[in-house]
Amino acid sequence: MLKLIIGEYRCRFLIVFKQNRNRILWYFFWSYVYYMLIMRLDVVKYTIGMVPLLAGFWLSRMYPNELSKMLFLCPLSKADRVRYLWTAYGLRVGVSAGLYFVISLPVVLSGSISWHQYRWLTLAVVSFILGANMHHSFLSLSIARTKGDKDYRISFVYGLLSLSSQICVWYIMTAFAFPSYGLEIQNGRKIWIAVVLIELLINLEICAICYKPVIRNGMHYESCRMIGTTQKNVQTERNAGS
Amino acid sequence: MIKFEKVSKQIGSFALQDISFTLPGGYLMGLIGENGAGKTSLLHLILGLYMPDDGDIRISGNSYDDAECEIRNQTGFVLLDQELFLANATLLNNGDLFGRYYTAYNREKLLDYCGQFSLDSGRRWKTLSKGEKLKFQFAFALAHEPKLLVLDEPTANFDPEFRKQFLHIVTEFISSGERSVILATHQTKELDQIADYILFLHQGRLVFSTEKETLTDCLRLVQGDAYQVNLLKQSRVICKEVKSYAASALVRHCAGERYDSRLTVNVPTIEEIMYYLMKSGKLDRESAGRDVRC
Repeated sequence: MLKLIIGEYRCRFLIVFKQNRNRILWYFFWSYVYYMLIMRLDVVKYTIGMVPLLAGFWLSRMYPNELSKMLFLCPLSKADRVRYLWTAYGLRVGVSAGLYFVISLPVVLSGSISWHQYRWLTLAVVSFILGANMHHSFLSLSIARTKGDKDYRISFVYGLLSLSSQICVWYIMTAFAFPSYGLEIQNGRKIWIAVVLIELLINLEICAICYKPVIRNGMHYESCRMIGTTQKNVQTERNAGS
Repeated sequence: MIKFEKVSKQIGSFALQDISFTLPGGYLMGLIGENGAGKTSLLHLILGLYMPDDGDIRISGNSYDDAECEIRNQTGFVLLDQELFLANATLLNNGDLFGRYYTAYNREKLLDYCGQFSLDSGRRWKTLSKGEKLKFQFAFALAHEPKLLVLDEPTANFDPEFRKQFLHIVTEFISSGERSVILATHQTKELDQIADYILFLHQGRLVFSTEKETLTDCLRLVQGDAYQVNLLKQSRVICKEVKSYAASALVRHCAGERYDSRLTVNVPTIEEIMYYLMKSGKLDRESAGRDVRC
């Protein structure tokens, strides 16, 4: 199964990258380059967290929780389909988290950041990667779901939570890499840890509540494709209206 | 083999409505209709990609709710989708990768068909032309020995030589009497040669689904001078096309019916039937059903 997924991801990489290129570049410049330059953030500290976060975020956009059309047509059992979705999820999380550990461990071992900070940073980064890869194509404010859709409410509410998680993680990384200039903000460390905990709770909540509807949606060809159809229709209607 | 009972499906703003038909084992059904009539959507319902909003679909007596794996195991397909297989993998790797989910997948058979269709099994999927991709899909479908073949407009992209070979293989495929084919196409000449049943869709509605023989028995295309065609009994005329001097008409025909000797009377082709029915505007099931019955 893993071999098949790696093969699929490798084959589709350029196509999906081109489809998402503008969004990827926008996120990269806005959240990485721009903030690092404008706020004069510590390059190493900011990079070890932000690059894996962005990798996790991009992977979730490029490879949604769904089977390819060919796999829908093959005689896969329901258990096989669930296994495929979980393996693919594990691969995306594994790649992003692996990248985080590969680039962050040498920095910690060199003593640039303390183990205490590293523990909290790891919680923030890994939980965000887990949450982001769970919800894409299911939780989104931009996905036009009808009120009759049984996932309508859960998609909307958890879409808001997902957005809050992105804001939290941006704050966590900015505050983490912000140079102190020898000064210490009052309760700065406590606030930072509190935000990490909030972000952790949000993403654990997203994973716990959404995995069943995400798997249910990912297992049916229509559920994955109809969302696109609805979006197109909404767009067509808007265009016709304007 | 395939049984649709009052199946309806809403897909965005398009809807397939109240589709009922039966295709027994050992026959080939041609699926015809204008662009956007719902042919591909109907095939998606047969393939279990879409689930019906209303009605019941049975493939070999099973429904997708009860025996999805079994149905998929026995169904081969050729679809217009260009990205079905892995782009960077070779044809053989693709075959092995997806073939292992089919109980009857036979690697040697796939290689044999690739050879017959002049496909190099070591080539990557992305390097194939459109026609070659369809040929490989066809080879893959045959390699897992399905009981039902679902073909979505494959022939338009085949060269004339391969088209003949394709028709020959399809005819052989159903000859055992246990396997069936449903073929959506605009190349109706092929259906004239090989189809046993014809299903005509128009704007998501079933116009008719009947044996081809019934069509050829019950309809005639009458051509001649305009005044002679005008003399035909109006109740028999389904649609008439009058030009400056000549005219032609699709008419209901009964065995033993006589025509003016100055008229040319032929069995209409499926394309002609489709053309005249669309021109007549009698595309609701009741009028068309009445027209294509003796």
